[in-house]
Amino acid sequence: MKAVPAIVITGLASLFLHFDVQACAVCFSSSENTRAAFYLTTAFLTVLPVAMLIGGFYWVRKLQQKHDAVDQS
Amino acid sequence: MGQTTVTHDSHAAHGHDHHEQSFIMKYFFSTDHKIIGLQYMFTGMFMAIVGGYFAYAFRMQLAFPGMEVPLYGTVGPGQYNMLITNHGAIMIFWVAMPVLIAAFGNILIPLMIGCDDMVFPRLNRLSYQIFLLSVVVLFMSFFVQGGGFGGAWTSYPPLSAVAEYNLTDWGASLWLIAVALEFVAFLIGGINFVTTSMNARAPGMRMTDIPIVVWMIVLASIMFMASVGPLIAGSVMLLMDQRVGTTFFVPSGGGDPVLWQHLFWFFGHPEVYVVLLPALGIVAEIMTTFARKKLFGYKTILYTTFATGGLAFVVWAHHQFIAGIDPRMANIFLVTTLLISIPIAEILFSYVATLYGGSIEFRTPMLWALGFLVTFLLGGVTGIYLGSSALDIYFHDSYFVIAHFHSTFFPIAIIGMFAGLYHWYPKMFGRMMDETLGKIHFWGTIIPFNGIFLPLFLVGMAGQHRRIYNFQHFPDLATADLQGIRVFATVSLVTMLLFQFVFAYNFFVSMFKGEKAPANPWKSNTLEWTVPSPPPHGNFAELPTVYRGPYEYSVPGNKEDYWPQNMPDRN
Amino acid sequence: MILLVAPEIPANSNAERRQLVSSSIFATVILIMTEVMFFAALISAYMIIRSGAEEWPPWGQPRLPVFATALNSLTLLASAFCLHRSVKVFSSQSSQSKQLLALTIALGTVFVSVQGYEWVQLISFGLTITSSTYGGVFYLIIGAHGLHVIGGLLALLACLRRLNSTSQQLTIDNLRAAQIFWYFVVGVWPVLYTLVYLL
Ligand code: HEM
Ligand SMILES: [Cu+2]
Repeated sequence: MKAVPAIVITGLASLFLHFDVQACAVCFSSSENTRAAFYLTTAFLTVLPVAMLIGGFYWVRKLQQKHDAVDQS
Repeated sequence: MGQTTVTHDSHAAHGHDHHEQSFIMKYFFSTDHKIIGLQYMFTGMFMAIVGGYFAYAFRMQLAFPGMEVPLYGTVGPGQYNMLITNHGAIMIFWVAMPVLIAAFGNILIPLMIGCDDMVFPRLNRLSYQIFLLSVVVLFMSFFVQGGGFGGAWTSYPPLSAVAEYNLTDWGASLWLIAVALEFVAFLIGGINFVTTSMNARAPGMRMTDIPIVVWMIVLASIMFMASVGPLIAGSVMLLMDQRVGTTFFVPSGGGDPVLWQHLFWFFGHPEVYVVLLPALGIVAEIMTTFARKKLFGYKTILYTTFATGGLAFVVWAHHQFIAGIDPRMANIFLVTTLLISIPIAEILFSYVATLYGGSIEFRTPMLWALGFLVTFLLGGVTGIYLGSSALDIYFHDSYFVIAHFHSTFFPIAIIGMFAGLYHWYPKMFGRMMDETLGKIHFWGTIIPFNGIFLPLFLVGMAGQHRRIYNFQHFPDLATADLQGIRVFATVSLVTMLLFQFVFAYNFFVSMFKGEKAPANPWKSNTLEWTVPSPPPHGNFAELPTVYRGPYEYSVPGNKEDYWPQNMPDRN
Repeated sequence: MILLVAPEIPANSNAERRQLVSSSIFATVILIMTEVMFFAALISAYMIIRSGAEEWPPWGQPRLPVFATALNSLTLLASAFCLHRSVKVFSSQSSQSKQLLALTIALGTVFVSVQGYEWVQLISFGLTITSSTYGGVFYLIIGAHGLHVIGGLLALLACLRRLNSTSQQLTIDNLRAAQIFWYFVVGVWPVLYTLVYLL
């Protein structure tokens, strides 16, 4: 159990490993614009389906509750 | 599309009377969900043979470079690329998807929720016809001038976009068209599955009385439909790059190749869960049945699956860690990638808990289900290493990745498929399969499978890159040790393929000579086991009413240890 | 086509089930989820390709007709309004509903036709799909939307035909499904217009 803090700290520290990644010589346009566009569109594309799925979940739940209400009456 | 949806809806509203159909009408133009399911099943199995044959050819080339492969011929570099590309694409798009989602979905959903057919039967038939067309187009792509496409199943541009680079002008385009057609087929099928399961449930069947496999197929369909849009857009753009001369993905013309990876993996990662979920569902059904125990944590599994479905949309960039995406973004995706292994682990834990304390019967379907659990675990665990963006710099595009995703995909697509087949075979064909041959087939598949891919983890860690047709050209990788491992993997593969003949024999002989199956051979609870095997057209003589959940096994106070969902009284 | 019209095996009974919501509406909503993601991808592609360009629109490429298209957008919005009215009076005043539906289709047709005319002009000015990535994404996005408008129009036409026919009944649910799809087509247009024409 003593190891737990050490593991947690190492885990958190590993989040900074990306500085090494940044040093990695991969090809990418140096344009700040493109970088921002990728950020933006990634956020856009990830949030949209998740939002729709959550919306769909509640919609179907509401429909089902209405459905059940008819059964009871 | 809008139009088709509209015009077909009223179909269910008016009844028809029953009359005999000719063989062709019955088996080729039927709108019966069971027939369409079987059509998908047989097409998928045929494609599995093609994919396996390709794997055989390129593994032989890797083990014995330059040798003339028996039953194939020599495998040149272009040939090699074409083989791996189409092996991957076929196994994912033309085997895993049609068999796990379309075939099992079609056969099981109406039977399990207690209705006579899909809500849109004609759309269902259209779905299969488009799928068949996609198969035809794919085969055409192998035979056009220049040969089949060889740009990998991910088809990264600019290689895939410019004919001067990939040297397969029409091969590449036809391949892309085939993939796009296949998506359209599943789109139509998926809409049908979701609508049917929500709208045509038997009276009394609440949301939480739906068998887990139906839920899993429904959720997989929803995920597929929420993720496929971007890839359809990307395919259209790539096709235009190839045929019209636009430069969306070609840097020399102002395009951005990383954009394709973006659109591809946005679909690509949810896709792995799309095939995973139905397999998990099949395994859950089998496990409760053969452990004679209630499924542990039905609601937990359900909600966890919802969570997985949501999370699956926020991890995709882990495939692009070294494609040059912003490292800060990679960091976020690192965290989400590690997060998603939690719900998956949770589901697997519930399965283990279902087994715990049960009176397990080791029938063939159960063996396959247990085999799934063990092998899939290995695949899932290695994914976590790949999810670390720092480690992935080394692992990316190595055989470690190959071994990772085969340890996930093989249990899903092959083991899951066999588990489902052995379990529902009596229902599908009205005959029992041979148990002994089934067990031989199981051990003859699972042991060689690990013989192929465990060594590949090692060569991956040794730095062996994927998509290279002859490692003798690389002094570091041409050592006798590594070559020995390659030969071992190839021999395992050939062994595994040979054992599939046991299955083929069992499958076809049982279909005609097997013992006649009773309606409920496994003493299971779900509704499909309350109708004769095979179910007649229209499924239920009298449409059932449901009184309880699907997993009431070994309930105290009952004489029998199972309690069918539609039985009003104690059993 | 022969495949699609082959007679089907009829089921011997048809389940009478109380639906959560009409199946045609449900199916359309799911389809729209896919469509939303499709257009989201096109929008993303547009933003990324544009961010990589030095100059937007590139030198020597024609400007888009911002004002004329804005006017044209109004016809599309008006059509959505007509459809809204048409569905509202569907059960009470069926002849008026029919007229409004026809008007919706007419307005939609005007919209696509004007767009088509705009394309012809742009092409004559030298903006083609291969002239630059600018032209490429323009025709891609606006073309994809145009195809959806045409698809929506076909769905509405099918509804209109059923309204006129005596053998096939048009239910309110069928019309609602077509309406949802049309709203989606109209609804994405302002987004695309802002993105492609205004920004
Ligand atoms: C438990 C969670 C999982 C994690 C954390 C995970 C993680 C990863 C990562 C990080 C990669 C990228 C490696 C690279 O290209 O360098 C990868 C590749 C891959 N994974 Fe997984 N994975 C998981 C589960 C799955 C499942 C369930 C499947 C299949 C059904 C799957 C199929 C694949 C495939 C096909 C690739 C390779 C794609 C390619 O480059 O061709 N993974 N995985
Ligand atoms: Cu992934």
